This record gives sequence, C-alpha cells and structure tokens, in this order.
Amino acid sequence: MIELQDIRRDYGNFSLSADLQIHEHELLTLFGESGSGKTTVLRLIAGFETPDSGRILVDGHDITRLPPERREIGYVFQDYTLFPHLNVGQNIAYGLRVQKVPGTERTKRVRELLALTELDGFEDRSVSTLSGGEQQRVALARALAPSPKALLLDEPFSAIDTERRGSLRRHLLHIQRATGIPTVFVTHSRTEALYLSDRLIIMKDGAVVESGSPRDVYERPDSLYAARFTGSVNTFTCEQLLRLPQSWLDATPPDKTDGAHEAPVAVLRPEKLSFSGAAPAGTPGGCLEGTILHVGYFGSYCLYVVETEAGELDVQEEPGGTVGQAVQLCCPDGAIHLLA
Amino acid sequence: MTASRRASGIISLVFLAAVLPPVLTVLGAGFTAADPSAWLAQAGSVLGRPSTWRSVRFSIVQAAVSAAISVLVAIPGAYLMAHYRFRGRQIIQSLTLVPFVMPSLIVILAVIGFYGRAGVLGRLFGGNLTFVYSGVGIVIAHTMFNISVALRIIAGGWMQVDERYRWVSASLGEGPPGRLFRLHLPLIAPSLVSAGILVFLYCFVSFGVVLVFGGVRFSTIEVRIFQEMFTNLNLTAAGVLAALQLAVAALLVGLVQFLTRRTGAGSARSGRRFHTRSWRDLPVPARVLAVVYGAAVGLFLFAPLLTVVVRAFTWHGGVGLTSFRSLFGGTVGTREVSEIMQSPLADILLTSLGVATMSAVAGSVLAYIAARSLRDQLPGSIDTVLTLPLAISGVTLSLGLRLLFFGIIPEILLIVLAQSIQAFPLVFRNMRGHMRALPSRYLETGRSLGARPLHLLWTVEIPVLWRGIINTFAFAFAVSLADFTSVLTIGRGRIVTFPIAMYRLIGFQSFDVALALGVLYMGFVGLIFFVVDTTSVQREGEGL
Repeated sequence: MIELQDIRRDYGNFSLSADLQIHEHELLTLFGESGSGKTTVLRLIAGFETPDSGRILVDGHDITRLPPERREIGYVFQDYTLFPHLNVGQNIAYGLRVQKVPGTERTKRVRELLALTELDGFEDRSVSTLSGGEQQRVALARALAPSPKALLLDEPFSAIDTERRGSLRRHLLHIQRATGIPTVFVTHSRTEALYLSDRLIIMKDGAVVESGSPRDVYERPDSLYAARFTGSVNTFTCEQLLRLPQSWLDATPPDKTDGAHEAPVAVLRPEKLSFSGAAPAGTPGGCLEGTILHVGYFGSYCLYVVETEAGELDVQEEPGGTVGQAVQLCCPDGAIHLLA
Repeated sequence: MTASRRASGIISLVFLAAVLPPVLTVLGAGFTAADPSAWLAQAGSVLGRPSTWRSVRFSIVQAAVSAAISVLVAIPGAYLMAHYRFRGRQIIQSLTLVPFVMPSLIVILAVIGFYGRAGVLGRLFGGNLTFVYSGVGIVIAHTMFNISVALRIIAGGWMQVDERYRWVSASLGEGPPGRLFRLHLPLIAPSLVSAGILVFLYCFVSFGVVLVFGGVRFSTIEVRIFQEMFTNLNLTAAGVLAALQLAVAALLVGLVQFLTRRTGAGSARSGRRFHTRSWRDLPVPARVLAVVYGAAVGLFLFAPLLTVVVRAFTWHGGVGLTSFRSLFGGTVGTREVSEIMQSPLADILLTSLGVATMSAVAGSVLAYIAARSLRDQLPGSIDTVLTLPLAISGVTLSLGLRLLFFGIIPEILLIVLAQSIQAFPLVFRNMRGHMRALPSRYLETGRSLGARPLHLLWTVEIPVLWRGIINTFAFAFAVSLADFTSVLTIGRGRIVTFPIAMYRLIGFQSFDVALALGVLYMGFVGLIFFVVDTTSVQREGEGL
C-alpha cells in the first residue's frame, strides 16, 4: 500500500496538499482539470519532486527522501518516452539490466511482457517504427518489467487517437488485473476516469475534492464541483426542489430560509429523466409537465432542454422530440441527489 | 520539387561555386596539360617521401589527441551548463569562447608565457621546462582553443535530450553512474562525435600553432603546403599535399555523418522537454567537485591568457606601460615598432577593423539568407555541404583564391572572401539557431495580411531576430579579426592586421610589445563579447 500522509508542496503560485492511500490491487484514478495537482502527486510518489512536509510510505516504509531509483515505482509518461537508442526488447529489458537480472531470465521476462502487452515478435523492432498505441504498450511493459511496487501512469492515452483509446483502456485494465499491481492513473478524460477506476479521486487547486468509487462519485457526489466535473447535471435550489415531485428526491431537502436558497443543493443527471411513457417501470413517482425549448442531436441520443415550472431541465432521451412539443417528464424515485 | 529543396539546391550550388574553384586550382597547381607525365612524376615523388607521411601521421595524431582531450574535458562542463542554473552561467559560457576567437599567436604567447622556459610554471616549480616546444605545446594550445567548441556542442546535445528519459531511467532503478553510461552518453553520442570531429578538423588544418611549436620536427600537412608554396616554390607539391589533406578530412567528415545518422539522434529529440535545474539541486559533494572542475578548467584556459596581460604591463622586471607606449611610436633596439610591424598602429587598427567588418557583414548576410531559406528544413545533406570549409585548410582556400584572382580582385577583398567562406559553417550554425525565434506562423500571418517578403523582412523578421543578427555579426567579426592564415597567405605581408603585426613583433623577438598588442586585441574581443553576451538569449540544443 502507498500512503501519502499530510503531504504539502508549495510552488509559490500553487500549493498542493494531499492525504491519500493507494491499496493493494487497486487502480486509483486522479481526475481533475489541468493544473489541479494530479501530476504533482504522481511526481511526488515517484520521487521526481520532494514534498515540503509530510511523508510517503510504501508498505509501511518511509520513502519520502529516497531518490527515484531506489523507490521501485514504475512511471509511464503520456508520450511514452521510449529510449530512442534502444530497440523494443532493450527498452523493456532496461530496468532488468539495472537489476542485473541474468540474460536468460531477462529474455524470458521480456517475452512474457511482450505477450502480456500483445506485442509478441516486436522485440527487435526500432521504437521509431511503432505506432502511438504500440509505443505506449512498450512503455507499460518497460515500467512493469522490474516488478515495481506500484505503477504510475501520467495521462498515458492522451497522445493516442480516440479510436484506439478504447482498446488500450481494455489492455491496461487486463494488465492491471493480471498483475495486481497498485496503479495510479492520472487523467482529465471523464470516460477513462469512470471506466478504469476502482476508486476515483477528484482534485481541484491542489487539493482532493472528492473520493469514492466511480459509481458513487457519479451518482451520489458530495460536491457540486464533482457532480459537474463527472458529467452533465441539472442543479436545483431549495426553492426549485419544492416544485418537483418529492418522490424524486433521495432525502429530505434542508430548510433554507437563511438567504442561501439561491445555491444549488441537489443534482440530477439528464439521463435519469425521461419523457412520459419511457419512464423505468415501477418508478413513476410523479411527473412534471414541460415544453421542449431546444434539441441537441448526439447521434444515439438527444439532449433536450425542457422548460418546466421548476426551471429549465436537461433531458437525455432518444431522438424524436421537437422544439415546442409538450412533454411529461418522469424520473425514478430518489434520483435527485442532495449534495452533502 | 518543394521550395525548401529548391532553396537547398541553389544554396549548395552557390556555395560549391565559391569553394571548389580555388580548391581545385591549388590541387591542380603545377599541372600542365603539355607534360602530364612530369607532373605525375613530381606528384609521385611527393607522395613517396617519408616526410609527407610523417606529416600526415602527425597531423592525424595531434588532432586526434587534441580532440579527445577537448571532448573529455568538456563533458562535465557541458553537463553542468546544460542541466543547472547558477549565477554567472551565461558569462561563463561567453568567457569560454574567448580563447576560441583569439588569434593563434596570442594563444601561442600565452602557452609559452605559462608553460615555457621562462614561464610561470617554470618559475613556480623551478627547472627549465621544455615540454611545450613539441607536440605537447601543440596539443595544449589546440585544447585551449577548442574546449569551448566541444563544450557548446555537447551542452547543446544534452539540452536536446528529453529530461523525462532521466526520470524514466530513475523509476526503473538506475542510479547516477549507471545513468551516465547507459543513458546519457548513448543519447548524446552524436554530439560527442560531432564535437570530436569538429575539433579534430580545426586541429587537423591548424596553421599558426604548428608553425611556432612544431619547428622542424613536428609539421602538419597544412604547414607543409605553406612551405612548399612559399619557401620551396613547389606548386605541384603544394597541390598534392592539399589533395591529400582534403582526402583525409573528407573521409573523416563522411565518417561523422555516417555515425551521426546511425546513432539516430533525431528520435531523442521528438517531444523534447527540457528544464534546467537549480544549482542547489546538486548534492553538496557534487557541487564541490563541480567547483573544483570549474576552477581547474578556468585555470587551464585563462591563466596563460592572464600571463599575457601581466607580462604586457611588465617592463624589465617592473610594472609599467612602456610596452604599450612602444606601440604608439616607440622603438625596440634601434628600430621603430611601426617599422617592425611594417605599419603604424592606427593603420593596423583601421585595416583590422575594416577587414573584419566587411567579412562579418558578408558572412552574416550570407548566413542569414541561407538560414532563412533553410529554416523549415531539418539538418541534412545541405549541412554537409555547408560544413565543407571546415574540411578545407585555410592555406589551401586562400592560396587558391590568390592564384585565381590575383591582379583581378584586390587582395583585401580576397581576404574578406576567404574569411567569409572559412567562418561560414560556424556563422551559419549560429544564425540558424537564432532563426528558431521566428516561427512560421509569424510570417504566414504577415503574408495573409498582404505583406510582401521585403516588407516582412523589415517589419517582422528583423524586429524579431535583431538580437540574433547582432550576435551572429559579432561572432563573425571576432572570428575574422583573429584570422591569421588568410591574411598571411593572400596579403603576403602587404596587408597588416593585428595577428600579422604580432607575428612580426614575435619574429623580431619583441615579445613584450607583441604582448601589449595582444592585450589591446583582447580588449577589443572583450567588447565584442560584451555585445555577444548582452544579445544572447538562452538557446537550447545548440552548438556554436
């Protein structure tokens, strides 16, 4: 397990504070905007940066002041950083050579990793002849070769074209599950964060905003920031909540009579709403009348803006609705989540 | 054919048209179509002499040793320069270039003054030190000249290496020593090879240093060419030796290109990311080592030059300005100093500055045109062509120009031409580095707004690149000011610049006055370097 205990790092115009654990076999994602401090956390764990205060522990051992080469933590950069003077096999074997692993054992391990990353036969290829995805897999194999205690991945798919990212994500998940290596994955892609993570940590301005399983963070976020950052969301003030069917709420709304009633207190994902007739069976807790104001076409679905007495709501529904059409909105019970 | 390839072709042709005729003239010197067998017999006898091969061997050995030492000494300095920020870094970088732009005669005086018979070392440790009057003196002087070249090229190469390779290597368990041998050195191998070969070529065709230190025993092909042409008046021998020298140099340049391409430096540069670190990031023992190293190299480079300054202010054991006064109308023995120099100081100053200005203008303009035309092109075969003058000896080129144009073009212009061609590889490289400050999008924006090329030049290019242009000019000026070979070979004594005047003073054993002239020269170079330093921007991944 890796623990960051009360870590502080100050850069003058930016400061980071982190207190988190990465458990055995876990794939943890650090998710946030550019400049939120995700990569800094990774660099601190790797030893490329030293914290001003706090401790970093790996399996209970303090590695805070240990140089990177003695931490046994693998690192993969977004643009692969394969050594250009070495071929694929030599790149993967680099860490094994450092560990002075005997030749035959080294060759065996390289072959295993080539197989694991589905790069069999690439051993003697020059790294400059590989595609982006192949280079990324070599980088992954190279990081895994010395059997590190943890793997750090800094936006590893951001330089890969969108079509290939899906298969690489599956690859990564397969490799991580096969090796069981604790992994920290940094991304600003919502899809990657939700798809890959065992646990998701949302960062903002150098601090952790929220942490939990992807489902929890997505469906029951504590903060408005996390709700908005993980996907489209309808937000409601206390006053708006009163105009909605109360069965839609997952808890009793707070009694805001202190002037703070303008702030959003609850969120609802657009895909939870449906037009009348399409509501999930058994959960028609009540409906809301409205008129379609705008239609956004996204291929397999449309994003409708519907005017209701509770305000304008985003609704994700199948294509077919038209502007001006009167609709009845339905929603499963408890789908509106009250923020903490 | 794309525009940039066409530009490469045109530039290569123009350049070859300027370089090849004088060289071919020297190579074919003494050849008469009427009696080719006589020429062949003479050429055969030159190639059959043991002294010819002795000079070939010595040329290669001294150049190889000088290059190896320069590169080895430069590696730690280049690493520090490339990776760490510290106070005075820019000044140190500029200072290291000072010996490079010193006339060979000043460096010779400095080396003799420090390591020679009555030199500082001799006085410190007692004994009559004579090791400097041999190949050792040649190697010391060459290393002094060329450490800065190696330093800049290697530091440039290091700056091209993405720093994340270091991080990856560390994350894979590699410590600093292993990283140096398994990662850094292979990645900067092309720069090491480039630096080594460049220094080798400079030393291989070195003239003044070998002329003074080599004496009768140690002579290089370059000195033999000069002797055959002007002492023995044997044109055929000079031509054959020039051909031999060119063949060896070309072979080596070809080897470099081959090796550089094989090592695949290009891929190390893709997606490059490089940040210098604070000096404080170095562990204390490493800082101590770095300071010791810096002091040792500083002592090696500047203690001899300092000797020149100190001795210039010394007269018969006391401190004084007598040497300087002698320059302005004094006498040495019974002869006027201006008579020894064969020109009054004011005229020397005027001639030196005039020639250097013309050469620097010509060199900078040509370099600008070439760098501008090739700005979107990666280094390739065009660079091989433009590097050609490095492989051609100064004596051969100057001699060729003299043989071709004597009586047609004034000697002073021939000197300017020779200096511009000789300095071109360095001046071009310098300008090409500065060109990076002018991204294509600036020019494209200007053109989309209707600006014509000349308008763009005045309104966009020059305002953006003015620092680089001044820097390149100052560099070309300093290189021309230090030139001894072209002025001596073409001017034949009628044109007197600083180095020629110094040469004459040394010949007349007026060392103190020569040193005073050397100090004046250093003052000029100091001024130039002030300009270079203030117009330098921190450029990454660049050689000279």
